[in-house]
Amino acid sequence: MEPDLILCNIIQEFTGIAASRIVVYNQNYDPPTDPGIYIVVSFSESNIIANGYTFEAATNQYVYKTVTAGQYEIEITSKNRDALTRKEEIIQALQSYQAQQYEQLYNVSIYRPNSILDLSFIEGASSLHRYQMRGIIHSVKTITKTVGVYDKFRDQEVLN
Amino acid sequence: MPVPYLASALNGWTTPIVFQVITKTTVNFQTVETSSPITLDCNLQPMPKQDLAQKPTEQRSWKWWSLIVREGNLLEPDDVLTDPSGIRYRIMSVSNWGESGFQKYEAIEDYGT
Repeated sequence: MEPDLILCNIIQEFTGIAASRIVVYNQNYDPPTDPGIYIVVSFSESNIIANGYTFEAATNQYVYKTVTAGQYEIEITSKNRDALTRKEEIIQALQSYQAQQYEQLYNVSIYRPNSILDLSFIEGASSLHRYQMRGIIHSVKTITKTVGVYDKFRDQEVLN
Repeated sequence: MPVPYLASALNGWTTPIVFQVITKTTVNFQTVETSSPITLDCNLQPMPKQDLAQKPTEQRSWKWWSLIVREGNLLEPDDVLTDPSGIRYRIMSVSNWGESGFQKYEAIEDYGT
C-alpha cells in the first residue's frame, strides 16, 4: 500500500471521520459543500535515504529497492469549527496503535508532524478553517525487472 | 404575475441526446470518475460571438458551446458530458431558468481521456 493511502487509513480509523471525507489529492476532487470536515493528503517531497539493487540468479531478475523519507501534507478543512477543534487528532492518529499496526504490516516508519500551519487566510472570504501538517513516512519501494542474460555460448574448441 | 414559461418556444429547436455524465466519487480515499447515461432534450450550438467576446482573453481560444436544455436533470459546474461521437463537454456555468422551462449552460470541449 502506498504511504499516502496508509496515512488515509490510519486517520480514518482513529478519527472515525467518514472514508468519503478523506482523499488523496486529486485536482478533480470536488470538496464537500456542507460545513463538515474533509481531509486531503498529498505528497510534498522526499529524501532518498538508500537506493540499490541485487540480482537474483534463480529468476534472472534485478530487484531494485529505494528507501525514502517522504513528507506528506495533511490538510484538515471545514466551514464550521470542527477542523479547529479536531486538528490535533491527526497528530494523535500518527502515533496511535493503529499506526503501529500499519507500520508492522507495510514495513514503514511513521513520524508525527512537529507543527501545524494555519492556512485559513488563503481561503479569503470563504471563511474556511484550514490547517496543514506534515507527516513523514520512511518506506521501501521495491520493483523487479527481468533482464536478458548471456546464456548461450559457442562450443569450446580444444586446440592442440 | 407568474414568470413567463418559455419551454414551448423551444419546440423544434431541441432534440433528445443521450450523453454520458461523468461524476466523481471517493473510493478507497481516491477520486474515481464514473459515467452514467443521461438523456437531455437539448440544443447544442457554438457560443454566439458576442458572448465569446466577453470571455477573458486567454479563454477565447477555447471551444465554447451553448447548451440549452428543455428537459433533463439539472447539471452542475465541472460536470463532464460525452456525446455519442465521443466529444467531451465540461460545464463551465449554469443558468437555471427552471421557472421558465429550460436551463442554459456554457460548456467547453474538454480534454480527452
